[in-house]
Amino acid sequence: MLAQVVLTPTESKKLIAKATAKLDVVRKAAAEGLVVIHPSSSTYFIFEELTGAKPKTNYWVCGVVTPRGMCVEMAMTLGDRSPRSDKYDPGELRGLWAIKNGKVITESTTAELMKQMTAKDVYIKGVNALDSLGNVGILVGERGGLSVVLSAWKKKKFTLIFPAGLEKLIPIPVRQATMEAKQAMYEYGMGLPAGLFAYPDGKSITEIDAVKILSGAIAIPIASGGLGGAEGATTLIIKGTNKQVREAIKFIEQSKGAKLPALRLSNCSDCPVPHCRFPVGDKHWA
Amino acid sequence: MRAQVTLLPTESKKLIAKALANADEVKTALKEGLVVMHPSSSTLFLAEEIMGKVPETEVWMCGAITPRAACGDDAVKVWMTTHPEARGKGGPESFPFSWVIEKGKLSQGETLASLFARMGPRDVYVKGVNAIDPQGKVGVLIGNEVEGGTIGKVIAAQKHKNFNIIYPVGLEKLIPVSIQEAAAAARDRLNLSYAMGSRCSLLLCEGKVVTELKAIKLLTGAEAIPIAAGGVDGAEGAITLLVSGEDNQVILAIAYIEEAKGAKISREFRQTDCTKCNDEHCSLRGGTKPWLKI
Repeated sequence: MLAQVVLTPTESKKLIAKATAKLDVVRKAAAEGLVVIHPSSSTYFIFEELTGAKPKTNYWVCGVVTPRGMCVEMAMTLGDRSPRSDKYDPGELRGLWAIKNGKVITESTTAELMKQMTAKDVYIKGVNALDSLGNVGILVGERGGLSVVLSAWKKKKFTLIFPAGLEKLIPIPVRQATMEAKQAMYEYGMGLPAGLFAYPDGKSITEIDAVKILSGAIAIPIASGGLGGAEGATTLIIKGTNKQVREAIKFIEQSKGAKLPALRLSNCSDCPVPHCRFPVGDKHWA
Repeated sequence: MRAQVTLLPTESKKLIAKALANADEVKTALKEGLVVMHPSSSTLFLAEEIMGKVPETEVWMCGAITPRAACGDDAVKVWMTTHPEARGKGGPESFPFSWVIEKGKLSQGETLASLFARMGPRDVYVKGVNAIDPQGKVGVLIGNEVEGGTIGKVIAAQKHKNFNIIYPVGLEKLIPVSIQEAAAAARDRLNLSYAMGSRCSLLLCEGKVVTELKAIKLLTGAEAIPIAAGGVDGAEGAITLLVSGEDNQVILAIAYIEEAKGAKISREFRQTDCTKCNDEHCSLRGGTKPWLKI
Protein backbone atom coordinates (compact mmCIF):
# COMPACT_ATOMS: atom_id res chain seq x y z
CA MET A 1 0.00 0.00 0.00
CA LEU A 2 1.13 3.53 -0.79
CA ALA A 3 0.17 6.83 0.88
CA GLN A 4 1.16 10.46 0.45
CA VAL A 5 1.03 12.70 3.51
CA VAL A 6 1.91 16.25 4.51
CA LEU A 7 3.09 17.22 7.99
CA THR A 8 3.80 20.76 9.18
CA PRO A 9 6.81 21.12 11.51
CA THR A 10 4.58 21.18 14.61
CA GLU A 11 2.67 18.12 13.43
CA SER A 12 5.99 16.35 12.85
CA LYS A 13 6.98 17.12 16.43
CA LYS A 14 3.81 15.44 17.64
CA LEU A 15 4.38 12.36 15.45
CA ILE A 16 8.03 12.08 16.54
CA ALA A 17 6.90 12.42 20.16
CA LYS A 18 4.57 9.44 19.76
CA ALA A 19 7.47 7.37 18.40
CA THR A 20 9.95 8.53 21.02
CA ALA A 21 7.53 7.64 23.79
CA LYS A 22 7.16 4.18 22.28
CA LEU A 23 10.88 3.35 22.33
CA ASP A 24 11.70 0.56 24.79
CA VAL A 25 14.61 2.46 26.29
CA VAL A 26 12.40 5.48 26.96
CA ARG A 27 9.44 3.52 28.33
CA LYS A 28 11.66 1.50 30.62
CA ALA A 29 13.54 4.55 31.88
CA ALA A 30 10.27 6.42 32.47
CA ALA A 31 8.81 3.48 34.40
CA GLU A 32 11.85 2.24 36.30
CA GLY A 33 14.49 4.93 35.98
CA LEU A 34 14.88 8.52 34.92
CA VAL A 35 13.96 10.40 31.76
CA VAL A 36 15.22 13.98 31.67
CA ILE A 37 13.81 16.25 28.99
CA HIS A 38 15.15 19.64 27.94
CA PRO A 39 12.10 21.91 27.49
CA SER A 40 11.55 22.80 23.83
CA SER A 41 9.02 22.75 21.03
CA SER A 42 10.45 19.36 19.97
CA THR A 43 10.09 17.80 23.43
CA TYR A 44 6.83 19.41 24.61
CA PHE A 45 4.74 16.66 23.04
CA ILE A 46 7.10 13.94 24.31
CA PHE A 47 6.43 14.97 27.89
CA GLU A 48 2.72 14.95 27.07
CA GLU A 49 2.91 11.48 25.49
CA LEU A 50 4.82 10.04 28.44
CA THR A 51 2.79 11.58 31.24
CA GLY A 52 -0.61 12.26 29.69
CA ALA A 53 -0.36 15.86 30.94
CA LYS A 54 1.08 19.16 29.78
CA PRO A 55 4.31 20.34 31.43
CA LYS A 56 3.61 22.63 34.36
CA THR A 57 6.90 24.55 34.39
CA ASN A 58 6.94 28.31 33.95
CA TYR A 59 8.48 27.95 30.49
CA TRP A 60 8.12 25.28 27.82
CA VAL A 61 10.98 26.38 25.62
CA CYS A 62 14.36 28.04 26.29
CA GLY A 63 16.31 29.45 23.33
CA VAL A 64 14.33 29.92 20.13
CA VAL A 65 14.74 30.91 16.50
CA THR A 66 11.91 33.35 15.87
CA PRO A 67 10.97 35.60 12.95
CA ARG A 68 12.86 38.48 14.55
CA GLY A 69 16.01 36.39 15.17
CA MET A 70 17.55 34.37 18.01
CA CYS A 71 15.82 34.92 21.32
CA VAL A 72 14.90 33.29 24.63
CA GLU A 73 11.59 32.62 26.31
CA MET A 74 10.60 35.51 28.58
CA ALA A 75 10.80 33.48 31.79
CA MET A 76 14.43 32.61 31.00
CA THR A 77 15.37 36.27 31.15
CA LEU A 78 14.13 36.91 34.65
CA GLY A 79 16.05 36.93 37.89
CA ASP A 80 18.90 34.53 38.53
CA ARG A 81 18.26 32.60 35.31
CA SER A 82 19.88 35.18 33.09
CA PRO A 83 23.24 33.68 32.08
CA ARG A 84 25.00 36.97 32.77
CA SER A 85 23.59 37.22 36.28
CA ASP A 86 26.33 37.00 38.88
CA LYS A 87 24.29 34.30 40.58
CA TYR A 88 23.84 32.20 37.43
CA ASP A 89 25.09 28.65 37.54
CA PRO A 90 23.88 26.40 34.69
CA GLY A 91 23.87 23.42 37.03
CA GLU A 92 21.43 25.20 39.32
CA LEU A 93 18.70 25.69 36.69
CA ARG A 94 15.41 24.07 37.68
CA GLY A 95 13.73 24.10 34.29
CA LEU A 96 14.31 20.54 33.04
CA TRP A 97 11.37 18.16 32.89
CA ALA A 98 11.95 14.80 34.54
CA ILE A 99 10.06 11.54 34.97
CA LYS A 100 11.38 9.17 37.62
CA ASN A 101 9.91 5.76 38.37
CA GLY A 102 6.71 6.73 36.60
CA LYS A 103 6.26 10.05 38.38
CA VAL A 104 6.92 13.61 37.30
CA ILE A 105 9.51 15.21 39.51
CA THR A 106 9.85 18.95 39.74
CA GLU A 107 12.18 21.48 41.20
CA SER A 108 15.32 19.36 40.82
CA THR A 109 18.29 21.26 39.42
CA THR A 110 20.17 20.12 36.33
CA ALA A 111 23.11 19.14 38.53
CA GLU A 112 20.90 17.10 40.86
CA LEU A 113 19.28 15.27 37.94
CA MET A 114 22.58 14.54 36.26
CA LYS A 115 23.92 13.16 39.53
CA GLN A 116 21.05 10.65 39.58
CA MET A 117 21.44 9.53 35.95
CA THR A 118 22.68 5.99 35.24
CA ALA A 119 23.48 4.12 32.03
CA LYS A 120 19.85 2.93 31.83
CA ASP A 121 18.42 6.44 31.84
CA VAL A 122 17.56 8.80 28.99
CA TYR A 123 18.18 12.46 28.18
CA ILE A 124 16.05 13.99 25.42
CA LYS A 125 16.89 17.26 23.70
CA GLY A 126 15.63 19.10 20.63
CA VAL A 127 18.17 20.23 18.03
CA ASN A 128 18.70 23.07 15.56
CA ALA A 129 20.46 21.29 12.71
CA LEU A 130 20.25 17.87 11.13
CA ASP A 131 22.32 16.65 8.20
CA SER A 132 21.43 13.99 5.66
CA LEU A 133 23.43 11.39 7.60
CA GLY A 134 21.41 11.96 10.77
CA ASN A 135 24.05 13.96 12.67
CA VAL A 136 22.62 16.74 14.83
CA GLY A 137 23.80 20.10 16.10
CA ILE A 138 22.44 22.49 18.68
CA LEU A 139 22.78 26.25 18.82
CA VAL A 140 24.50 27.33 21.99
CA GLY A 141 24.40 30.78 23.52
CA GLU A 142 26.49 31.54 26.56
CA ARG A 143 27.06 29.30 29.55
CA GLY A 144 24.14 26.97 28.94
CA GLY A 145 23.40 23.70 30.71
CA LEU A 146 24.99 21.71 27.88
CA SER A 147 28.34 21.40 29.64
CA VAL A 148 26.69 20.00 32.76
CA VAL A 149 24.79 17.35 30.77
CA LEU A 150 27.78 16.40 28.62
CA SER A 151 30.07 16.11 31.60
CA ALA A 152 27.60 13.68 33.22
CA TRP A 153 27.07 11.77 29.97
CA LYS A 154 30.82 11.20 29.52
CA LYS A 155 30.95 9.46 32.89
CA LYS A 156 27.66 7.57 32.81
CA LYS A 157 26.86 7.05 29.12
CA PHE A 158 23.09 7.34 29.46
CA THR A 159 21.07 7.32 26.24
CA LEU A 160 20.87 10.59 24.32
CA ILE A 161 17.82 11.03 22.09
CA PHE A 162 17.37 13.92 19.69
CA PRO A 163 13.90 14.38 18.15
CA ALA A 164 14.58 16.23 14.90
CA GLY A 165 11.98 17.01 12.26
CA LEU A 166 13.21 17.26 8.68
CA GLU A 167 12.51 21.01 8.93
CA LYS A 168 15.93 21.13 10.64
CA LEU A 169 17.86 19.79 7.65
CA ILE A 170 20.94 21.67 6.48
CA PRO A 171 22.69 20.74 3.22
CA ILE A 172 26.19 20.34 4.65
CA PRO A 173 27.61 18.04 7.35
CA VAL A 174 26.88 19.32 10.85
CA ARG A 175 30.60 19.03 11.65
CA GLN A 176 31.41 21.46 8.83
CA ALA A 177 28.76 23.91 10.06
CA THR A 178 30.16 23.81 13.62
CA MET A 179 33.58 24.86 12.36
CA GLU A 180 32.09 28.07 10.93
CA ALA A 181 29.64 28.89 13.70
CA LYS A 182 31.80 30.44 16.42
CA GLN A 183 29.74 33.19 17.97
CA ALA A 184 32.67 35.12 19.41
CA MET A 185 33.73 35.90 15.84
CA TYR A 186 30.43 37.43 14.72
CA GLU A 187 30.35 41.15 14.08
CA TYR A 188 26.65 41.14 13.20
CA GLY A 189 23.76 39.04 14.35
CA MET A 190 20.00 39.03 14.73
CA GLY A 191 19.49 38.86 18.47
CA LEU A 192 21.51 36.44 20.53
CA PRO A 193 24.59 35.13 18.74
CA ALA A 194 24.96 31.37 18.90
CA GLY A 195 27.57 28.81 18.02
CA LEU A 196 26.72 25.35 16.77
CA PHE A 197 27.69 22.31 18.79
CA ALA A 198 27.68 18.76 17.39
CA TYR A 199 26.74 16.11 19.89
CA PRO A 200 29.33 13.33 19.95
CA ASP A 201 26.79 10.53 20.20
CA GLY A 202 23.08 9.87 20.40
CA LYS A 203 20.13 8.87 18.28
CA SER A 204 18.21 11.34 16.14
CA ILE A 205 14.56 10.59 15.46
CA THR A 206 13.06 12.11 12.34
CA GLU A 207 9.63 11.64 10.80
CA ILE A 208 11.14 8.75 8.81
CA ASP A 209 12.28 6.98 11.97
CA ALA A 210 8.99 7.80 13.68
CA VAL A 211 6.90 6.15 10.95
CA LYS A 212 9.15 3.07 11.11
CA ILE A 213 9.01 2.85 14.91
CA LEU A 214 5.25 3.31 15.09
CA SER A 215 4.17 1.16 12.17
CA GLY A 216 7.04 -0.63 10.46
CA ALA A 217 6.26 1.26 7.24
CA ILE A 218 8.89 3.04 5.15
CA ALA A 219 8.65 6.83 4.76
CA ILE A 220 10.46 8.65 1.94
CA PRO A 221 10.52 12.47 1.80
CA ILE A 222 9.57 13.70 -1.67
CA ALA A 223 9.11 17.42 -1.07
CA SER A 224 9.47 20.08 1.55
CA GLY A 225 8.07 23.53 2.34
CA GLY A 226 4.69 25.09 1.80
CA LEU A 227 2.50 28.14 2.21
CA GLY A 228 -0.05 29.66 4.55
CA GLY A 229 1.27 27.96 7.68
CA ALA A 230 2.88 25.00 5.92
CA GLU A 231 6.32 26.63 5.78
CA GLY A 232 8.88 23.94 6.59
CA ALA A 233 6.33 21.15 6.00
CA THR A 234 7.47 17.75 4.82
CA THR A 235 5.68 15.65 2.20
CA LEU A 236 6.23 11.92 2.54
CA ILE A 237 5.43 8.79 0.62
CA ILE A 238 4.60 5.95 3.01
CA LYS A 239 4.93 2.40 1.76
CA GLY A 240 4.59 -1.03 3.28
CA THR A 241 1.97 -3.70 3.85
CA ASN A 242 -1.65 -2.56 4.12
CA LYS A 243 -1.51 -3.03 7.88
CA GLN A 244 1.69 -1.01 8.28
CA VAL A 245 0.58 1.91 6.12
CA ARG A 246 -2.86 2.05 7.75
CA GLU A 247 -1.17 2.11 11.15
CA ALA A 248 1.14 4.92 9.97
CA ILE A 249 -1.83 6.92 8.65
CA LYS A 250 -3.58 6.50 11.99
CA PHE A 251 -0.66 8.05 13.89
CA ILE A 252 -0.16 10.75 11.26
CA GLU A 253 -3.83 11.74 11.35
CA GLN A 254 -3.63 11.90 15.15
CA SER A 255 -0.73 14.35 14.74
CA LYS A 256 -2.45 16.58 12.17
CA GLY A 257 -3.57 19.92 13.57
CA ALA A 258 -1.14 19.78 16.53
CA LYS A 259 -0.47 23.17 18.12
CA LEU A 260 2.16 24.42 20.55
CA PRO A 261 1.48 26.92 23.34
CA ALA A 262 1.97 30.63 22.67
CA LEU A 263 5.55 31.87 22.78
CA ARG A 264 6.33 34.69 25.19
CA LEU A 265 9.12 36.99 24.09
CA SER A 266 10.26 40.17 25.76
CA ASN A 267 9.83 43.39 23.86
CA CYS A 268 13.26 44.11 22.35
CA SER A 269 13.17 47.70 23.59
CA ASP A 270 13.00 46.71 27.26
CA CYS A 271 14.54 43.22 27.17
CA PRO A 272 16.71 42.55 30.22
CA VAL A 273 19.05 40.00 28.56
CA PRO A 274 22.51 41.55 28.80
CA HIS A 275 24.24 39.09 26.49
CA CYS A 276 22.01 39.81 23.49
CA ARG A 277 24.85 41.38 21.52
CA PHE A 278 22.76 42.27 18.49
CA PRO A 279 19.36 43.56 19.66
CA VAL A 280 16.94 44.06 16.80
CA GLY A 281 14.50 46.39 18.58
CA ASP A 282 15.15 49.22 16.16
CA LYS A 283 14.87 47.03 13.05
CA HIS A 284 11.78 47.26 10.89
CA TRP A 285 11.02 43.52 11.00
CA ALA A 286 11.01 43.32 14.80
CA MET B 1 33.80 39.90 8.69
CA ARG B 2 31.25 37.37 9.90
CA ALA B 3 27.52 37.77 10.37
CA GLN B 4 24.83 35.42 11.62
CA VAL B 5 21.43 35.90 10.03
CA THR B 6 18.06 34.15 10.07
CA LEU B 7 15.68 34.19 7.12
CA LEU B 8 12.12 32.90 7.06
CA PRO B 9 11.04 31.00 3.94
CA THR B 10 9.16 34.04 2.61
CA GLU B 11 12.12 36.32 3.33
CA SER B 12 14.39 33.88 1.49
CA LYS B 13 12.09 34.10 -1.53
CA LYS B 14 12.49 37.87 -1.54
CA LEU B 15 16.29 37.68 -1.20
CA ILE B 16 16.56 35.11 -4.00
CA ALA B 17 14.31 37.28 -6.19
CA LYS B 18 16.69 40.22 -5.70
CA ALA B 19 19.57 38.04 -6.89
CA LEU B 20 17.64 36.71 -9.88
CA ALA B 21 16.61 40.19 -10.97
CA ASN B 22 20.35 40.98 -11.10
CA ALA B 23 21.40 37.77 -12.87
CA ASP B 24 22.96 38.28 -16.31
CA GLU B 25 20.55 35.89 -18.05
CA VAL B 26 17.54 37.73 -16.65
CA LYS B 27 18.93 41.16 -17.47
CA THR B 28 19.60 40.09 -21.06
CA ALA B 29 16.13 38.60 -21.42
CA LEU B 30 14.52 41.73 -20.01
CA LYS B 31 16.43 43.83 -22.51
CA GLU B 32 16.20 41.66 -25.59
CA GLY B 33 13.58 38.99 -25.11
CA LEU B 34 11.14 37.30 -22.76
CA VAL B 35 11.18 36.48 -19.08
CA VAL B 36 8.53 33.82 -18.56
CA MET B 37 7.61 32.81 -15.01
CA HIS B 38 5.38 30.06 -13.69
CA PRO B 39 3.22 31.93 -11.14
CA SER B 40 4.11 30.95 -7.58
CA SER B 41 5.15 32.36 -4.23
CA SER B 42 8.79 32.12 -5.38
CA THR B 43 8.28 34.02 -8.62
CA LEU B 44 5.82 36.56 -7.19
CA PHE B 45 8.76 38.37 -5.60
CA LEU B 46 10.78 38.22 -8.82
CA ALA B 47 7.93 39.80 -10.77
CA GLU B 48 7.71 42.45 -8.06
CA GLU B 49 11.48 43.10 -8.14
CA ILE B 50 11.45 43.53 -11.90
CA MET B 51 8.23 45.50 -12.28
CA GLY B 52 8.38 47.47 -9.04
CA LYS B 53 4.88 46.36 -8.07
CA VAL B 54 2.95 43.22 -7.21
CA PRO B 55 1.40 41.49 -10.25
CA GLU B 56 -2.35 41.99 -10.16
CA THR B 57 -3.22 39.11 -12.45
CA GLU B 58 -6.09 36.82 -11.48
CA VAL B 59 -3.76 33.85 -10.96
CA TRP B 60 -0.55 34.32 -8.92
CA MET B 61 0.05 30.71 -7.97
CA CYS B 62 -1.18 27.27 -9.03
CA GLY B 63 -0.56 24.43 -6.60
CA ALA B 64 0.74 24.59 -3.06
CA ILE B 65 1.46 22.50 -0.01
CA THR B 66 -0.80 23.92 2.69
CA PRO B 67 -1.29 22.78 6.30
CA ARG B 68 -4.24 20.67 5.21
CA ALA B 69 -2.89 19.13 2.00
CA ALA B 70 -1.42 19.46 -1.48
CA CYS B 71 -3.99 21.83 -2.95
CA GLY B 72 -4.61 24.23 -5.82
CA ASP B 73 -5.63 27.86 -6.12
CA ASP B 74 -9.36 28.25 -6.73
CA ALA B 75 -8.98 30.09 -10.06
CA VAL B 76 -6.73 27.35 -11.44
CA LYS B 77 -9.16 24.68 -10.25
CA VAL B 78 -11.98 26.47 -12.08
CA TRP B 79 -9.89 26.56 -15.26
CA MET B 80 -9.01 22.87 -14.89
CA THR B 81 -12.65 21.89 -14.45
CA THR B 82 -13.98 24.10 -17.24
CA HIS B 83 -11.24 23.15 -19.70
CA PRO B 84 -11.29 19.34 -19.97
CA GLU B 85 -8.25 19.46 -22.24
CA ALA B 86 -6.21 20.81 -19.32
CA ARG B 87 -5.91 17.34 -17.84
CA GLY B 88 -5.56 15.53 -21.09
CA LYS B 89 -3.06 15.30 -23.91
CA GLY B 90 -1.77 18.76 -24.75
CA GLY B 91 -3.17 20.13 -21.50
CA PRO B 92 0.03 21.59 -20.08
CA GLU B 93 0.74 23.42 -23.35
CA SER B 94 -2.64 25.12 -23.13
CA PHE B 95 -1.71 26.54 -19.70
CA PRO B 96 -2.49 30.28 -19.96
CA PHE B 97 -1.30 31.64 -16.62
CA SER B 98 2.46 32.12 -17.12
CA TRP B 99 3.69 35.61 -16.34
CA VAL B 100 5.46 37.09 -19.34
CA ILE B 101 7.61 40.18 -19.10
CA GLU B 102 8.34 41.60 -22.52
CA LYS B 103 9.42 45.11 -23.40
CA GLY B 104 8.86 46.28 -19.83
CA LYS B 105 5.29 45.00 -19.57
CA LEU B 106 3.93 42.08 -17.57
CA SER B 107 1.09 40.06 -19.03
CA GLN B 108 -0.77 36.80 -18.44
CA GLY B 109 -2.90 34.86 -20.91
CA GLU B 110 -0.59 33.54 -23.61
CA THR B 111 -0.44 29.75 -23.71
CA LEU B 112 2.78 27.86 -23.15
CA ALA B 113 2.57 26.48 -26.69
CA SER B 114 2.52 30.01 -28.08
CA LEU B 115 5.38 31.07 -25.82
CA PHE B 116 7.51 28.07 -26.80
CA ALA B 117 7.11 29.09 -30.45
CA ARG B 118 8.56 32.50 -29.63
CA MET B 119 11.28 31.60 -27.09
CA GLY B 120 14.96 31.28 -27.90
CA PRO B 121 18.47 31.34 -26.38
CA ARG B 122 18.17 34.89 -25.04
CA ASP B 123 15.00 34.13 -23.09
CA VAL B 124 14.50 32.86 -19.56
CA TYR B 125 11.91 30.62 -17.92
CA VAL B 126 11.67 30.76 -14.10
CA LYS B 127 9.94 28.11 -12.02
CA GLY B 128 9.70 27.50 -8.28
CA VAL B 129 10.30 23.92 -7.08
CA ASN B 130 9.21 21.65 -4.27
CA ALA B 131 12.41 19.84 -3.36
CA ILE B 132 16.16 20.32 -3.39
CA ASP B 133 18.58 17.58 -2.38
CA PRO B 134 21.95 17.93 -0.62
CA GLN B 135 23.67 17.77 -4.03
CA GLY B 136 21.67 20.77 -5.27
CA LYS B 137 19.40 18.88 -7.67
CA VAL B 138 15.78 20.05 -7.67
CA GLY B 139 12.38 18.45 -8.22
CA VAL B 140 8.86 19.68 -8.96
CA LEU B 141 5.67 18.04 -7.73
CA ILE B 142 3.42 17.14 -10.65
CA GLY B 143 -0.31 16.84 -10.19
CA ASN B 144 -1.21 16.70 -13.86
CA GLU B 145 -2.26 13.29 -15.10
CA VAL B 146 -0.19 13.28 -18.26
CA GLU B 147 2.95 14.70 -19.80
CA GLY B 148 4.71 15.77 -16.60
CA GLY B 149 2.77 18.97 -16.04
CA THR B 150 3.85 22.33 -17.42
CA ILE B 151 7.46 21.87 -16.34
CA GLY B 152 7.70 18.61 -18.30
CA LYS B 153 6.70 20.52 -21.42
CA VAL B 154 9.05 23.39 -20.59
CA ILE B 155 12.02 21.02 -20.23
CA ALA B 156 11.14 19.32 -23.51
CA ALA B 157 10.81 22.68 -25.31
CA GLN B 158 14.09 23.94 -23.84
CA LYS B 159 15.96 21.12 -25.56
CA HIS B 160 14.84 22.47 -28.93
CA LYS B 161 14.77 26.20 -28.24
CA ASN B 162 17.75 26.48 -25.88
CA PHE B 163 16.29 29.11 -23.55
CA ASN B 164 17.55 29.33 -19.95
CA ILE B 165 15.62 27.68 -17.13
CA ILE B 166 16.19 29.03 -13.61
CA TYR B 167 14.85 27.46 -10.42
CA PRO B 168 14.72 29.73 -7.34
CA VAL B 169 14.62 27.55 -4.22
CA GLY B 170 14.97 28.31 -0.54
CA LEU B 171 16.63 25.74 1.71
CA GLU B 172 13.22 25.25 3.34
CA LYS B 173 12.74 22.82 0.44
CA LEU B 174 15.70 20.59 1.38
CA ILE B 175 15.05 16.84 1.52
CA PRO B 176 17.60 14.33 2.86
CA VAL B 177 17.52 11.90 -0.06
CA SER B 178 18.45 12.39 -3.71
CA ILE B 179 15.78 13.77 -6.03
CA GLN B 180 16.15 10.57 -8.07
CA GLU B 181 15.31 8.45 -5.03
CA ALA B 182 12.39 10.69 -4.09
CA ALA B 183 11.09 10.69 -7.67
CA ALA B 184 11.24 6.90 -7.77
CA ALA B 185 9.24 6.71 -4.53
CA ALA B 186 6.61 9.13 -5.87
CA ARG B 187 6.41 7.56 -9.34
CA ASP B 188 3.46 5.34 -8.50
CA ARG B 189 1.14 8.20 -7.58
CA LEU B 190 -1.85 6.76 -9.41
CA ASN B 191 -1.61 3.72 -7.16
CA LEU B 192 -1.72 5.77 -3.97
CA SER B 193 -4.40 4.35 -1.69
CA TYR B 194 -4.38 7.46 0.48
CA ALA B 195 -3.28 11.03 -0.14
CA MET B 196 -3.60 14.34 1.61
CA GLY B 197 -4.88 16.32 -1.36
CA SER B 198 -3.72 15.96 -4.93
CA ARG B 199 -1.74 12.84 -5.76
CA CYS B 200 1.67 14.02 -6.89
CA SER B 201 4.73 12.60 -8.55
CA LEU B 202 8.11 14.34 -8.49
CA LEU B 203 10.04 15.35 -11.60
CA LEU B 204 13.82 15.86 -11.57
CA CYS B 205 14.53 19.21 -13.23
CA GLU B 206 17.82 20.30 -14.78
CA GLY B 207 18.82 23.95 -14.98
CA LYS B 208 20.29 26.78 -12.96
CA VAL B 209 19.42 26.51 -9.27
CA VAL B 210 19.52 29.60 -7.05
CA THR B 211 19.34 29.15 -3.27
CA GLU B 212 19.92 31.71 -0.50
CA LEU B 213 23.63 30.75 -0.63
CA LYS B 214 23.89 31.42 -4.34
CA ALA B 215 21.81 34.59 -4.00
CA ILE B 216 24.22 36.06 -1.45
CA LYS B 217 27.19 35.13 -3.63
CA LEU B 218 25.58 36.66 -6.73
CA LEU B 219 24.56 39.86 -4.95
CA THR B 220 27.70 40.48 -2.90
CA GLY B 221 30.47 37.94 -3.41
CA ALA B 222 30.20 36.87 0.26
CA GLU B 223 30.03 33.20 1.28
CA ALA B 224 26.99 31.89 3.16
CA ILE B 225 26.99 28.65 5.12
CA PRO B 226 23.82 27.17 6.66
CA ILE B 227 24.37 26.42 10.34
CA ALA B 228 20.82 25.73 11.53
CA ALA B 229 17.26 25.40 10.27
CA GLY B 230 13.74 25.66 11.61
CA GLY B 231 12.15 27.79 14.28
CA VAL B 232 8.94 28.48 16.13
CA ASP B 233 6.13 31.01 16.29
CA GLY B 234 6.24 31.81 12.57
CA ALA B 235 9.87 30.87 11.99
CA GLU B 236 9.06 27.31 10.90
CA GLY B 237 11.21 26.45 7.88
CA ALA B 238 13.67 29.29 8.63
CA ILE B 239 17.33 29.03 7.73
CA THR B 240 20.15 30.44 9.85
CA LEU B 241 23.26 31.36 7.90
CA LEU B 242 26.79 32.38 8.66
CA VAL B 243 27.83 35.01 6.12
CA SER B 244 31.55 35.66 5.74
CA GLY B 245 33.84 37.60 3.44
CA GLU B 246 35.47 40.99 3.05
CA ASP B 247 33.89 43.72 5.17
CA ASN B 248 32.31 45.42 2.15
CA GLN B 249 30.88 42.09 0.91
CA VAL B 250 29.30 41.16 4.23
CA ILE B 251 28.00 44.68 4.85
CA LEU B 252 26.37 44.59 1.42
CA ALA B 253 24.92 41.13 2.13
CA ILE B 254 23.45 42.41 5.41
CA ALA B 255 21.87 45.32 3.54
CA TYR B 256 20.13 42.95 1.09
CA ILE B 257 19.12 40.56 3.88
CA GLU B 258 17.68 43.38 6.00
CA GLU B 259 15.69 44.55 2.96
CA ALA B 260 14.28 41.04 2.66
CA LYS B 261 13.43 40.72 6.37
CA GLY B 262 9.73 41.10 7.12
CA ALA B 263 8.72 40.17 3.56
CA LYS B 264 5.13 38.99 3.24
CA ILE B 265 3.31 37.35 0.37
CA SER B 266 1.04 40.12 -0.77
CA ARG B 267 -1.56 37.98 -2.49
CA GLU B 268 -4.13 35.74 -0.88
CA PHE B 269 -4.15 31.99 -1.45
CA ARG B 270 -7.72 31.05 -2.27
CA GLN B 271 -8.46 27.59 -0.99
CA THR B 272 -11.94 26.14 -1.22
CA ASP B 273 -13.56 24.62 1.84
CA CYS B 274 -12.91 20.88 1.35
CA THR B 275 -16.56 20.04 2.03
CA LYS B 276 -17.59 22.21 -0.94
CA CYS B 277 -14.72 21.41 -3.31
CA ASN B 278 -15.51 19.66 -6.59
CA ASP B 279 -11.95 18.83 -7.61
CA GLU B 280 -12.34 15.22 -8.66
CA HIS B 281 -8.56 14.74 -8.61
CA CYS B 282 -8.28 15.50 -4.90
CA SER B 283 -8.66 12.56 -2.57
CA LEU B 284 -9.84 14.87 0.22
CA ARG B 285 -12.74 16.30 -1.80
CA GLY B 286 -15.75 16.60 0.50
CA GLY B 287 -13.53 15.63 3.39
CA THR B 288 -14.42 16.38 6.97
CA LYS B 289 -11.17 15.49 8.74
CA PRO B 290 -10.58 17.87 11.66
CA TRP B 291 -7.42 19.41 10.18
CA LEU B 292 -9.21 20.32 6.93
CA LYS B 293 -11.22 23.09 8.54
CA ILE B 294 -10.10 26.53 7.39
